[in-house]
Amino acid sequence: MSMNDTLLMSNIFKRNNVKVIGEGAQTLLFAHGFGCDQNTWRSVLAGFLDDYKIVVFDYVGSGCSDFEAYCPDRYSTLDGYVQDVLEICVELKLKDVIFIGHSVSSMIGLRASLQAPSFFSKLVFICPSPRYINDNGYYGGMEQDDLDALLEVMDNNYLGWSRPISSAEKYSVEIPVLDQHFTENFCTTDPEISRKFAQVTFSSDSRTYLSMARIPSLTLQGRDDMLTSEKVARYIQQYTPENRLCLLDTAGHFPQLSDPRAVISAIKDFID
Amino acid sequence: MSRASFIKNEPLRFAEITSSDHLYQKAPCGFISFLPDGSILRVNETLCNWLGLTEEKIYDLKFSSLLTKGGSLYYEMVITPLLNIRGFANEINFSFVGLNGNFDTLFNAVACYDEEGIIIAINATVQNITDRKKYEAELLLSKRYAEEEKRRFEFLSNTIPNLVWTAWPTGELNFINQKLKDYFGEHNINEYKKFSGVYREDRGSVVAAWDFCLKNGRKLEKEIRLHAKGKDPEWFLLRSEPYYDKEGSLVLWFGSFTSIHKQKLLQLANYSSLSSSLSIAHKTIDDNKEMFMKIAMNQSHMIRKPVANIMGLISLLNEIKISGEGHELLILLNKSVEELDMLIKEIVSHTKISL
Repeated sequence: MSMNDTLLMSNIFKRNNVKVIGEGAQTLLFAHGFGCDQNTWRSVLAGFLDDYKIVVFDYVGSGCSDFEAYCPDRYSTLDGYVQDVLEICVELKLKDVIFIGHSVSSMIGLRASLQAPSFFSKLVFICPSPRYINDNGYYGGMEQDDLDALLEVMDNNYLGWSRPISSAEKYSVEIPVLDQHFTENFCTTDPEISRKFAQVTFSSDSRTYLSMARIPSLTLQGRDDMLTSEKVARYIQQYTPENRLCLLDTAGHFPQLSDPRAVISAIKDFID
Repeated sequence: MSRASFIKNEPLRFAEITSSDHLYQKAPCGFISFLPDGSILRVNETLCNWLGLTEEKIYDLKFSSLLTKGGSLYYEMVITPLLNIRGFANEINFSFVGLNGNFDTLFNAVACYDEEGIIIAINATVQNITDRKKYEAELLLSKRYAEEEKRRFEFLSNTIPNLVWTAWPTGELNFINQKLKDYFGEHNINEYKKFSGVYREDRGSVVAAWDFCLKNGRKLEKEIRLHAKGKDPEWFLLRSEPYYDKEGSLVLWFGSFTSIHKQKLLQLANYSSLSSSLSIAHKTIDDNKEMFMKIAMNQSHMIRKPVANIMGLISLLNEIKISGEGHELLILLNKSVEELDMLIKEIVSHTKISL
């Protein structure tokens, strides 16, 4: 490995706050969705630590990533986030990864698998949506007005808990479930970046990519999810080759937090 | 009345006012407890009143349905993971849907966990901040207006042909327009060090003049040369004026570089042609003067010769016996010729000095 590679690798590690845990032969790459960071996986990781190599990260502009690396042009579409995923795979020399994406990351993972098929072997979509906003006979569940209302609430909370990041505002918390593996860092978010990520997420349209999928995928969907629904999950199943749907009996958009056991067992069922 | 005497005189009232139930129900803030799926466990009277619903009605609803649509999406996407992972959320601005209209609140919440660290329920307080929110909305509006004004200024500054900049009272650059970025081929404002784009020969005097203006709040106007990479130095008129706010404090410097390169070159060319005609004139005068002096020298020489002769003849005449009246005339003649000789000598010596 050349000097440049080492530098670049450490840069990407720092840039995306990448963490590699476990020694298994098979790699699981966990990708968080909008509004959170790698901490969203805290309760499910324990279920895979013994058998898999686990990679978690934060997208640039989320969690404890390097906010300086945020380039508005690059992240003006989902493709910028796809590049983050692919660059992490390249740096870690990952192949045949099982990609587990929550929310918007489901489609980021699908798009990444189309760009670099050899990197991925299976995809897991948790509460996915190829398009959030209703469109001409397509039911996404949201209207443009809902997105505007969300952005307004985000603006109203501009002065509240979300402040520009500085190292002084990072703090650590010991978590009981994974205390032997790593300490979680929480970082405040940058309101401008969050706003843009929300816009990119909710204006994205990945419907045309579904039919291009060439590897097996699993959709996990709970009930009473404001962002997406069983109906959307069924749409994905209808248009995506080799897509399995698993409905979970848990409410909300974060089954990995509200029912981690069910999520672990459904994923294991699919990948083992 | 002291605490002790109040308790002694009004034991029942004291017990009622400070009872947990009274504090919970009548508190000046709303209390609400709910499950992770949003099912509401308990709500206090204050919040019921604000919502305009009975407690029983509220128990049929989910927490997020009490919020406006934008708020419920925000709750689901941002606050849910925050509560799950961090265990608390503070000072979230939510708008609740009330029977008598929406009301703005500050929402604080803490999560309750079971032994395995799985979240069981959420306890939250709700502060009504409708009036405060109006003020905040005005602030936000002013902030947006100020940002809009800034964008307008930047737009305007890009439509005029000058290189425009603004600087803080410390002299640190605050803004540079597109023309300036293009001129130097550098778009990052941090790369612009103190007048490093000014031509070497002019830099010292510009920095000194600018420092003087910064210290004294005086405007600056100076013709200087800018030197961008790969270009020849070009003449500009540097202007900078301090901007004072309503309170009279210097808040910003507005500066510009106006290209005067062509005029300046023309002016410099005019100067040099004027100066060469002046030197020709000067030379002509000198030549004329020299010629005049030469003539004067020659003439004086030619005049001195007969004068010397006259003087010799007079001294010869003095040795000849001459009548009394003739002698008188000879003395007068000698005096006149000596005066003439003196005059010629003076002219000659003056001419020598001049030459």
